[in-house]
Amino acid sequence: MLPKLLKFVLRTRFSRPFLIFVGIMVGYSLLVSTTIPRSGVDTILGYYASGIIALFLAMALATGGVMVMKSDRDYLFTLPLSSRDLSVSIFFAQFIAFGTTVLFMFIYLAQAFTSPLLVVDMVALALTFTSLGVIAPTIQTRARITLSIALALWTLSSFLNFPFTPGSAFNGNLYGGTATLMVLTAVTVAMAFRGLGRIELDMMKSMVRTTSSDIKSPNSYVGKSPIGAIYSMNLTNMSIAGRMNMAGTSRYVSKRVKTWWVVTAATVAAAAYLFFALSVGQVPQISGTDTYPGAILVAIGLTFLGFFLSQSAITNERIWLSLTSLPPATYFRHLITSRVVSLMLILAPFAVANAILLVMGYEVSFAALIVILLIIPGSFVLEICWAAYVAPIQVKGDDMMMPAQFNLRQMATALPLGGVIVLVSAASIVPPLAAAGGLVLCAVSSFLTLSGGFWSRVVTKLTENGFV
Amino acid sequence: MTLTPSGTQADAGIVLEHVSKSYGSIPALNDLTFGIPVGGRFALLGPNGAGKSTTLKLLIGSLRADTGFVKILGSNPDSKESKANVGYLPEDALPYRMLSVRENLEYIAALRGVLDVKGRTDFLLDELDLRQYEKSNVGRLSRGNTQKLAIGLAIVHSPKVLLLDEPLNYLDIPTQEKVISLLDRLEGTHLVSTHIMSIANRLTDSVVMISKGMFLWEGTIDELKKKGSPEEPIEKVVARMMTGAS
Repeated sequence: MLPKLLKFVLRTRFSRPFLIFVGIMVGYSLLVSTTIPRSGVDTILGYYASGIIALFLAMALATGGVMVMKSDRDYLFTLPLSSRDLSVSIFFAQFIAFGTTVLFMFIYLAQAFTSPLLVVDMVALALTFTSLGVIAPTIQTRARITLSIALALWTLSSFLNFPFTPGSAFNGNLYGGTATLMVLTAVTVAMAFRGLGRIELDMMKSMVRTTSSDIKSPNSYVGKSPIGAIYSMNLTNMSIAGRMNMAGTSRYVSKRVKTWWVVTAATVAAAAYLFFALSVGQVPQISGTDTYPGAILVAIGLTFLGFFLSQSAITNERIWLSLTSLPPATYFRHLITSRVVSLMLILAPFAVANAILLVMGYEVSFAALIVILLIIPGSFVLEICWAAYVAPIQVKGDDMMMPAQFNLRQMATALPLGGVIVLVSAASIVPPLAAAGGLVLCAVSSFLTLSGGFWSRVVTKLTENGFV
Repeated sequence: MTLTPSGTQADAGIVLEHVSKSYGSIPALNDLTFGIPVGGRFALLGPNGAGKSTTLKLLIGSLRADTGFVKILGSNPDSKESKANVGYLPEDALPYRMLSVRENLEYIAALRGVLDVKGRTDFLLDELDLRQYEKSNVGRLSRGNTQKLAIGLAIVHSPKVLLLDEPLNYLDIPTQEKVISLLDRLEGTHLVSTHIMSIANRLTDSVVMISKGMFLWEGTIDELKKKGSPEEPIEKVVARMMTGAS
């Protein structure tokens, strides 16, 4: 029964083109990883390994979920199936969904594969990420976030040469790191299968959840002009939304947060970033300049943040309301401008921190400033336009349920992010080129924002994609 | 009623003249022509895939006709005048799920330039029995309460032309009666897309029937009833007409 069930679970979750794409990615990654020169672990690779492992562990636990659809709840779980077969099938589907991301993000770690143990560590990491995604929904939000942060900090402590972390194997402590990973993998996989064994019950519980939650400090639009209302809505609150693939789970995410809270958090984070740079961040010179790797890492982090913020502009939009009220060009122009202002409020503390570092001689902060002031805002608008025109996806349903299906069109949403990451990386190597690229991004973004014809076509696209 | 792009009749609330619309190679509307006078209460009937939703989307300007023209009170659907005049409720309407019930009503009222945003919001909260949910996150509302809110959002600006797609979906019977009473009290031109004849009968007095994207029949509900025998349910009459068209 297992092969049949496995086939059914995979075919109902992944489109055929998506599976072909996964196959190509796996082949490509294996090819690259077998041909890449084995140079062992160096400082930069060690930083990258620990950083990326920390990020994936934290994100898997913070945002994971089980890859189950409403039709599973209504039909599959009512069938007399072995819970072991069901668990294995769903776990495998999660592994497939996340596998491509893991392979792609970790491919360059292959140069560290001077020991076969590191290959085993990679597999263990992939299993751990998948398992954390499965465990995530069984933990209360607050505890989940706390645990995610703890996991990330624990992994990052390998920077300080702590040998027993999930990232230590890639940071010069092969045996301690491998032993740690084996234990972590065993524990998380066991917990994941225990959770999947009672998946039907957990999913059924979500069906009877009917309580409504109040918004604690609602915004008022009394006395606002139409344009004032748009700015009020988007500057008072921020929303992060999108369809995410984390740890094998496809889910709609939509969170609303007060802007002042996010700006405060950004200010604290920027202060910590500045403090870290001034106290322990300076590392031996690379490329003949004072280098602070954190500057580019933070810039990349902010790029991802900008991407997630950009997705909420369209995924949460209700054009049957907004575009029957105002002309599309007017509405979108002000929506995007307000979103850019809101983004800049978060970026401002980091811009100030980098400006201070630049004055103090950290040349790499110039690259970070290019990223923060040009590339992120410019790409942010393009990402909104892309999401609206190429791959419009609307957050519609109950966020308790996973949409759980993958196709290539959804993945296309994230395509611009690849180009932006290339530009961000270029900023640290050839700042003038990156600055020119950033200016072009801003110019194209401004043109699209002001283009009535573009937004008119977007409305047709959105309508044809079920937004009305 | 025969209408021309340049000389739209003064009493025309809604006009579609020789409208065709395709989604890629799939035709949705094919030379569709009909008109609804100002103040008319019409049901838009048709089988699945007849083009009812496409017609409504053309009327709100979110789609454009490939050929032909559409007018609302003499204006193009994507004009400012038309946007100010039209209220629209799509099928399975979803308000902003990150906002509360009150925030949704206030935001859309402000966006539409309603002068007394607070007064209008309070009125609709009471009329639709949503007062107890005014601070609730819309994402957590029941489907029935979401539908009530969506109806409120469609009429928050007291539109002169109201386009409704299955407006009574998800509503229990007492709420249906409340909504029917509220809609009855609204002045203006109403076009209600529905599959359910009893709803058409309660909300409207006339019918436009379309099938396969083409005009089929137009007349009052009484005239429609007369097309069958006295004991024949009106649904049977409608089914026969629609089947005859295909």
